Amino acid sequence: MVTEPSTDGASYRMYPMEMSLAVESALKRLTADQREAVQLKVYQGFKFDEMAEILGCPVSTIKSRLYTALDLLKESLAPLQARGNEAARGSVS
Amino acid sequence: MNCSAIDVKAYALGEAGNPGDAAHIESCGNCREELERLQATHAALLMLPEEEIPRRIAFVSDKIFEPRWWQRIWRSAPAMGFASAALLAGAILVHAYSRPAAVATSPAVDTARIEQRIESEVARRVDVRVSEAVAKVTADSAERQAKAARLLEAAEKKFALERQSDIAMIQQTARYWQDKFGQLMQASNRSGL
Repeated sequence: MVTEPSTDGASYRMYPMEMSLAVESALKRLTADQREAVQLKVYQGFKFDEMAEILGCPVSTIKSRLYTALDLLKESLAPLQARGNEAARGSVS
Repeated sequence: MNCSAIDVKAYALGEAGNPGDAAHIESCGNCREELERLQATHAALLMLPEEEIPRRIAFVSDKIFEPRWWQRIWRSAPAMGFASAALLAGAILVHAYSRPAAVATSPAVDTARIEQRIESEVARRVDVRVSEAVAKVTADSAERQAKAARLLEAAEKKFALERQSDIAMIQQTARYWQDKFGQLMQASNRSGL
């Protein structure tokens, strides 16, 4: 099951350039292994077992790298997303 | 269902989970909130322009099971043979280009030295031969002179002996005739008496 990214959140539509820069910066702070896992999963759409086969690692290792990367990205992007949400709420009201 | 049993991240990333995961996430506020944050992060990641696949994994999907380069070389006998031949050729080339450096600096010197050695050797041999020839001629001459002297001495001795023999014979003959003459004189005296 593939969940589509949320489109009703205004955070990434309010500041596309700023968000892009923030994402790029956050990705640079990841380790090479974590960035590789994000690349394969988010941008290439591979399944966990496919990634494990490609990278020659157990699925548990792939999950660990990817989940850690997602937590770091979530923390890095949270302030910007919060600002976007506040701006969206302000424009609605 | 317990929240700890739900892998919200896997669900957010589209991985197939347990059948009841979706229902739990819908009903659980914490899980739904976590899912929304993950989806927002996922959406933010997708805002980036098309990311180039890192070179490290660009072709990994189709080459991951291929042997490494050294394994292919190691398993390839012709390649190993070629590598050995190339190594040997390289060694020969290095040897060929390194040796003349030592030889190239001294051909003129060596030639002059060799010519000098040949000349000195020839001169030495000529001197030796000349000395030998002179010595031989000298020795022959001395031997010839000695031989002539010996012959002369022998001839002189022989001549002296013959002369002594002749003298002795003459003396004997003279003594014979002297005796005969004496006898005749005595006989004539006795008859004359």
